[in-house]
Amino acid sequence: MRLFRHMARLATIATLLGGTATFIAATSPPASASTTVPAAAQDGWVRIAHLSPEAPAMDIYLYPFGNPGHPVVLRDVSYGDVSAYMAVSPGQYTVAMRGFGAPATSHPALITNFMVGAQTTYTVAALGPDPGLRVEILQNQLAAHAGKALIRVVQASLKQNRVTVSYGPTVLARQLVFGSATPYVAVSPGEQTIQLSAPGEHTTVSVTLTADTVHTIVVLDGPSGLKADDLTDAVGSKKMPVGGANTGFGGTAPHPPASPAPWLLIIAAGALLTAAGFAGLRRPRRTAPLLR
Amino acid sequence: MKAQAQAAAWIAGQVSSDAIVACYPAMCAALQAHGVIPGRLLPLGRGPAGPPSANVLAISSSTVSPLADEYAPGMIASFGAGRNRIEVRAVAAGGAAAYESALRADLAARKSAGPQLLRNSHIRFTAPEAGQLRAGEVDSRLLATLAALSSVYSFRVTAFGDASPGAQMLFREVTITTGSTGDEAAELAGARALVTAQAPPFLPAHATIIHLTSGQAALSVEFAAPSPLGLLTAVLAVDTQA
Repeated sequence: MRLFRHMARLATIATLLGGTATFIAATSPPASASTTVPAAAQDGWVRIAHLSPEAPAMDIYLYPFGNPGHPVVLRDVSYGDVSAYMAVSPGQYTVAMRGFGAPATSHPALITNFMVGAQTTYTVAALGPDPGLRVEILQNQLAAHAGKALIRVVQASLKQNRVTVSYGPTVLARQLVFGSATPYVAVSPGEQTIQLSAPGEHTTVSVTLTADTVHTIVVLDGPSGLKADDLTDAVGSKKMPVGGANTGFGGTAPHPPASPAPWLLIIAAGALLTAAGFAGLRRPRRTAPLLR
Repeated sequence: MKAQAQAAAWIAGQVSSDAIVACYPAMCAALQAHGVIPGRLLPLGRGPAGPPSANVLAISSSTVSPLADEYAPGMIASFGAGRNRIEVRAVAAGGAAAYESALRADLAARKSAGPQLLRNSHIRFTAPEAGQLRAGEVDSRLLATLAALSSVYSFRVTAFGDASPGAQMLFREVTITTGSTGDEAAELAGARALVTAQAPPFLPAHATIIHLTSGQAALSVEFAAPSPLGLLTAVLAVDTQA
């Protein structure tokens, strides 16, 4: 199965090498190509995060209510994967998923709906057990206070219903329940310790947050207790995400004038992943793991 | 008694099968007689009480209280008149003010999302249904279901339906016919399979192949009452208390 998946990934990469436009059209097209206003002025931005350790790989579709023939599609999304931000037209979207590799003509599982606002960024996060997977929509903030880092917490641990999270001396969340999030708070950048506390469990991990960055700390279950993933929501200025420069794992914004550089990075990353798969190595996580 | 029996029949047929129904003893008995299992019934005691741990409240004119107005402000159906009037209400866990706020937000979301479906080239609407979409009168589960169906099928919406006597409620039922000239029966069966494969809250109470008066086959999809709020704007709420 894993070999099959890596073969599929390789096929995608081969397509990419043959023509980036094909990948754009097949994977993450703009939700509507009919807009006459420059994309960056109108679009919202969405990324997808698979944070459910028990759920299998899946293909995730965002169907615009008005244009189902042009969904935003992210294929082969596995635990730990966090996509780049994708530019989408503002409007109402249905989030649906299919099993990995299922044809787009097969019946999707309808998960949730949300409204994309102009110049607003979202994380579509798959959380929870399988079965019982749920998808939560997080609205992200892009601008940090000057000289500060912004940080919030999403509680996605299945084993601990309530978790207290601190960043150094700053308590970010007290008894945060599963499936909920805190507001962003401004913290001093630098190297600091994040503490995760729950009944019978206390875990610490070091992080380094740079100034003018925005982060979401996701509390998850690791093999030996609580762990945390640091999702970078934004880096730098108040500009909307363009290309891969300022956001998370790198951008896939398909609109011009995005630089082709991110695509090259994705191709390179995909090639590395494929090589790792063929070499029998465990596929690396795409998020920044803070604790193993 | 007639109103009570009508209300019991309506609840048994229209209210979500996993909803807990708070009821006065006679109504609880009537509901059991209509097949509602005792585990779903929460008998109301005498005198004032706090909000019941229920999803739906069935009360008679003689048992309506200001407290009920506070914790169950949304009437979803009513039967009879005067002293025999029976009201079926949706319980709002957060109280009346929060319910009204959620109601307004949901209406705004439906008014925004509905017209977007009118631009969907895979769905055709008649003028009355288009007007109902624009007015935000269609249950958000139906809107999401139509959007999901249109990702695979092309179809025509022939009618939105409602089965909430005595209350102006959202349309929870839709009838669609196939929009293609191909195998109509197969497409409708496929559409039915798609909607019945969903999980709550997007799993309809009924999805049935019917025949219109013209003889044309159609798919009728109906969701249970009450209509949930906030499904179109499912952004994770921030916990400011944590």
